Amino acid sequence: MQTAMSAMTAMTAAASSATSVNGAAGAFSGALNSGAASSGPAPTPFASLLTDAVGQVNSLEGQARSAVDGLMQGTGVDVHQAMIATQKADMAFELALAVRNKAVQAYQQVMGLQF
Amino acid sequence: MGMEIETRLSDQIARYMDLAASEAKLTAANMANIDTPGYSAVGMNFGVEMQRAIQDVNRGAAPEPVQVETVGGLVARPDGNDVSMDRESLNLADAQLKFRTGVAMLRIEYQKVMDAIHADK
Amino acid sequence: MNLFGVMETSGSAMEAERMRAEVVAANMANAETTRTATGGPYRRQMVVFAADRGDPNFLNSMQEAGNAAAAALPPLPPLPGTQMPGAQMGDAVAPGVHIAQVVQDPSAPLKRYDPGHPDAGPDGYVEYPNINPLTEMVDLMGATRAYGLNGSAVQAEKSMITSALDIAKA
Repeated sequence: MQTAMSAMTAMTAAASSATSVNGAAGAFSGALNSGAASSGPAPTPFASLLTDAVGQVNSLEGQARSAVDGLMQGTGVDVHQAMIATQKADMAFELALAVRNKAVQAYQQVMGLQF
Repeated sequence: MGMEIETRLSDQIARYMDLAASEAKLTAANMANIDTPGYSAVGMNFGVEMQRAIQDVNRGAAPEPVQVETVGGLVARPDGNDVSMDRESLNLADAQLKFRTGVAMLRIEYQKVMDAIHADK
Repeated sequence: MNLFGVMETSGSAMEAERMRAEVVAANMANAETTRTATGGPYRRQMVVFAADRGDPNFLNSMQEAGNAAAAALPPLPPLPGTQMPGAQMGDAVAPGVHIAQVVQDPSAPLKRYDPGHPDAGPDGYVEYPNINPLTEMVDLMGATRAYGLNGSAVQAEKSMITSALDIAKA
């Protein structure tokens, strides 16, 4: 949850830094690649944050799949364990999706800026 | 920096449900063997196991197998069987309620995470 | 073993208890049977329960129980003695129960003087099964109660599985 918050702050930082520079699209891609928040103590590149999130979604999805497999093959996986794994994967996916939507929204906002 | 979708509490609740399921398993085994000569009822110490599970979650360790012990102090019938119908019924109801409590708490916990994700809508 | 395995545990007990009730019913039905395929009067039968060994391969023991039951019921297997094998608990938890054997009551048949009976011996006595209806009724009640207990256990397990499905419900 904390990471979700920091992702959002990073996004707003990216958006605000983009407005201060002319050539908005370039600035945004720069923010994506080289780290967004210049004011933060330990700047994490937003791109790596996203990659991280996708990787996490992937691994949780894999866990959920193996749990459901185990449940169906009767290898001792319990129903609630499979459901918990599925729910975790679902939540991670929702989080990644929300972050991605925000990113796209910010990008479109920046692209729509009038000078 | 990793993305942690699960909270410590939700992991602990998951272990709580595992233990409740184990309790149901032991109770069902006892109930099934209510007429088996020489069978002694088995059980577990839920409190001790939960304590251990909480510590495991805090250390980030994998779940440990449950310690199963024979329940002492029960009145055995002439054939050596000491399963008590009342005790097992009670234990099963207990396990069932614990499990349902776990489901309810887990749903609240997950709903919180979901609400945080969709906080801007 | 997961919660479905627990249902199988309770199911094995229900099956075993049903077998026990069947044997009791056979005893009651044959309380006056003086003629059987093996000769002599019907002999009272009893079931012997045994805990399944704590192996994860649950199907085998269920099959064993089924086979033993099928082999035991209609034709009477001559089983010497009523030795009760001590229940063996597996490594951890018994994954169910099965009927280890159906034994015959070794006690002598009751003799009633009835020279006109076609099955009467040369001394005029007819051998009747040594069956006490009261004992059988008590046995039947025990079987019914244990059957109901395990039935309610199945119910509980079912509700646990159903509530586990709610976890992923939004």
